[in-house]
Formats: sequence, structure tokens, C-alpha cells
Amino acid sequence: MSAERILRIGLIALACSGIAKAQSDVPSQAVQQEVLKAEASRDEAMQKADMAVLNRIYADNVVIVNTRGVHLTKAQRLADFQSGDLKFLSFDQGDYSFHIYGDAVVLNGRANSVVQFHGKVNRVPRKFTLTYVKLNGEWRLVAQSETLIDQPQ
Amino acid sequence: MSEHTYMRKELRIAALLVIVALGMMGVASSQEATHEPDADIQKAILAADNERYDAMQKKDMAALDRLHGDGLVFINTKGRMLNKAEYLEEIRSGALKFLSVETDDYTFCIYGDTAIMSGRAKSVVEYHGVVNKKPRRFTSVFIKMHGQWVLVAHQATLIADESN
Repeated sequence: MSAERILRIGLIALACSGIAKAQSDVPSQAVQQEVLKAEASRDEAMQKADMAVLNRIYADNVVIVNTRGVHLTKAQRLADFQSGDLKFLSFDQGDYSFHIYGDAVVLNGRANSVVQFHGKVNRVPRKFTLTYVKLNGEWRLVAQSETLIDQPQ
Repeated sequence: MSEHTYMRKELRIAALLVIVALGMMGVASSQEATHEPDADIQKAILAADNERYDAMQKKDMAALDRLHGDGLVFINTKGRMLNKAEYLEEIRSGALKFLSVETDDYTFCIYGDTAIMSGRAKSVVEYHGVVNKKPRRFTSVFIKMHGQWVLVAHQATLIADESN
């Protein structure tokens, strides 16, 4: 076999492997859909206090900062849902924006949900940042931060 | 050698080359996903963050441009969401000024080329003429791009007075 022919086959093989790699990079639209699906599951689970789903979506080392500037662990957040200390009286969340960095997605949005936290009702709209990372093929929430939107006086 | 045998030999070589190429890609990919110790990553991120604060105080716009991802989303303590251009303009114009920088109580979580850094800030900040000394919790998301950790998301929340 001529050297030229081997080289040609080699180039075709490399091109094929390149196609395989490109196909493995999920298009951003598909990633957004996957993350939105995970987020929809989390939203539903928060309202129903479905601990199994919440346990699956929150990463073990998730970093949570609530609107009072308190840093919470996964165990603390799940305990709030389980005990009923954190309850959604209505649920309204949207205005999403996505930034995708490989297997990490930063999802920003606005929440107008009415929340009862340790007996206090909070109706103030808030901005949030959620960071999802794909771990073992599943989108898991690794960071959540919320800030009340300053209301004009 | 018949044409048929010749083609089969070529196919075998092509298949072998595909396997070698895919193997090489796998090695490269796994190298990207690992293996710098977390302590070294934390140091690198803290260094990038210190450089960021230093650049903010000096209004070093070139350094700030380099240290923030183009898709930066910055949510300040008022719940205002800023993109990179808006955030850098606040620094450049002097609308946002750090009168002192003090951060502590860090938590790091590292997932390959994604790092979450959370902490407490007691920096004194002047924002649109109003001085804010209230402590706040922040969460920063850093992504390693082209060998450099850059800030792609940051959110700050005032720490509520527990007497309220």
C-alpha cells in the first residue's frame, strides 16, 4: 500500500473521530431543555416536599445562600422542606437566561413566588443564580443564590 | 493480492486509526477533567479573585476584562442584574468603588473546570454615591478557560440583621 494511500485513510479516520467528538457535544438548545427539565422537577418537588427528587437534584455539596444571606447546606435546605419551615404559598418563576460552559450551566432568573419561611411570609420578588453541573450524566444543582429586588421607596 | 483483500486490509488500518484517534481524544479529555489538587485550584481561584479586587481598586480595565468571562452575570445586593459591559462600566465610571476590601469564611466546591466559591464580604463599598458597610454573603462561579480561571457569575446578598 502506498504511503499516500495510508495517509489518505489516516486523514479520513481523523475526520471521522472529529465528527464523533462534535456529535458528543450536545447543542446548547438541548442543554437548556435538559436543565429546564431538571429545574421544573425541582420546582414541583419543592412545592410537594418530594424529598427523593430534591435529594437527587441537589448535589451533596450544594452551596445555598438564601435571601437573608444565610449559607445553607443540602441537609439544612432539605430539612426546611421536610419540616414545612419552608413552604411555597404560590409559585411564579421565570425570566430565565442561560450561560453554558461545557458541563456547567449558569441559570439566572426572577422569582415572584410567595414563600413562608419559619412562619414569615415573603412576597418580595427576588433574583437568583442557579448553577447546574452534569455529574454522572445527571444535571445537579451545585449552587443557588437569591437576593431580594430592591423596591423603589 | 486481490482488490477485495486489499480493501479489507485498508479498512482494518482505517478502523485501527479511528480507535487510536479516539483513544488519544479520550486521554486528552480525561486530562482536561482532572487532576490538579483541590488545594491548588483554591489557591489559583483566590489569586484570581485578589487580582480582580486589586484591578477594581486601580480601575485596571484590561485586567478586569481578562478576569471576567464575556457571559458574566453579576447580581448585586439590590437585586440588579448586570452583564459584563454594565458591570465594568460601573467600575470605570466610579459608580462602584471599593473603599476597603475584606472577605472571609470561604467555601469551595470544585467540579472539574467549574468552581463555586462562597464567602462573606465586609468590604466598604460606595455605590452610586451611597456607602454600604453592611456585611454580605456572596457566591462566585469561576470557569477555567484557556488555562485561566475567570469569573462568570457572582451574586451578593446582604446578611439580614437577626433581630429583624
